[in-house]
Amino acid sequence: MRNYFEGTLKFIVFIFGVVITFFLFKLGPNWWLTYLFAYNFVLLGSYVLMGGGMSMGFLVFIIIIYLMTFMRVLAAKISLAPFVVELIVSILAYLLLRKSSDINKYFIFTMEDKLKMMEGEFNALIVEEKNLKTGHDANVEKLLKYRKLMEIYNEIKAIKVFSDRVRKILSSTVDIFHKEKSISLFLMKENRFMKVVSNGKEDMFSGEKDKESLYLKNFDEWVINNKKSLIISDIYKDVRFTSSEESENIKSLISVPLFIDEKIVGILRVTSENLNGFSHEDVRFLDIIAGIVSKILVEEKYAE
Amino acid sequence: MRNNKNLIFFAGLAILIVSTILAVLLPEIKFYHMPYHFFILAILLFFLYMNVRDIFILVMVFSSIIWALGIFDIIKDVNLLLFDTLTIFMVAGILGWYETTFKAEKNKFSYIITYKEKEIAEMNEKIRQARKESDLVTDEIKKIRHILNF
Repeated sequence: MRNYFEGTLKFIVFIFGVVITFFLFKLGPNWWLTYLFAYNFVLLGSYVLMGGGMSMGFLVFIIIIYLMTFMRVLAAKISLAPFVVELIVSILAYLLLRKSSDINKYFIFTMEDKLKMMEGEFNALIVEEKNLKTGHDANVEKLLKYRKLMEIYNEIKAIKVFSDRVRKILSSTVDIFHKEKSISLFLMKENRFMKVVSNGKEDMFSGEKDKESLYLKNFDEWVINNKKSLIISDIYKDVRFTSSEESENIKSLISVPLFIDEKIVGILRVTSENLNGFSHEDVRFLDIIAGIVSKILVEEKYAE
Repeated sequence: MRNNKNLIFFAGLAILIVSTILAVLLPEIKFYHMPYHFFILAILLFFLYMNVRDIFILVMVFSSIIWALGIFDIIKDVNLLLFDTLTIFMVAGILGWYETTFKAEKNKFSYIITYKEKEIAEMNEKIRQARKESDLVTDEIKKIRHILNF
């Protein structure tokens, strides 16, 4: 409907231009100025309906008509001044319409810019929301682990036997990590080592053994000597680790030292059959478990 | 901006008043209806910042004065005056069409911008909620860590 109306308007403007051009020189000199004035409708209409390029064409055409009129005016020996002023008025009117159009275009461009900025802002917010969600999910997962650990801590308070307490905390820790992981606790006293292993299904006390017979000893020695936690994403690529028969299924591990009064009394190690099985957050978590084990050892007067 | 609008409005008004006075003073035989034709400049000046409806009203008021001059025989050639008036109102009409087209485009953008603003506000609220939930979780983790860090 709108297009139809616009088409009709274009047709009217065009026909109007043709008609006034046809009649311009057929009527008397008193009509000339009025007819020239009527060209303003053609000029401005062409700008509004057909755009700047087309209207420039019309402007050139109208200037030619004016020049022809000037010659006829001179021939008729009437005053040229009103015709010259009329031409100036037409050109000024055209320029004013262009200016008005520029203001409108500027307004539209401003709105387009604002819209683009808003789209950019919205996209940034989507990314922020996604990151927040990812962070939140990770935190929720972490929280579940901590809640579980808190439960374990409360449970072991009720257990009186040392070996049961150690078993409980080790088997529960494997539960908190994943099924394919196993945890080992090495306790050392006067260079004698005791190893407790739990893989989630069963746990066993290896009893006191010589440290030479312990597996992954190079790695354990590093933790004992440096008194630092360690995370290994791929043990076969780590020069500190010597592979052995049992270690073939182990791909990654984390280990933390156990302290009593700043004296190292053992290590706690979790191993995984997968590469990159642990994160730094897991190390921090194991540190807390080590703190609980250390507390059990203190209560047991292990250091004495 | 406001000063600009006022200046342009008064310039347009001045053109209308001066043209009307010139229409009385200048001899019709030599200058025809040239002063009345200046109205088109006033229309286009007004069109920079005013809506076409108001321009129509203003121009009608001043045109009626010009027509009154015709009635009182100060302007004699009423046929030409009729054609001039027709041209002036046709120009105002085409400007009205232009304004409608522009307003349609402007409304389209306004609608999209309003929608986007609403969308951004909703997303900000979502983020605020997510932060709040995340803070609660972090606080609980810190609390447990504090209990377990002997």
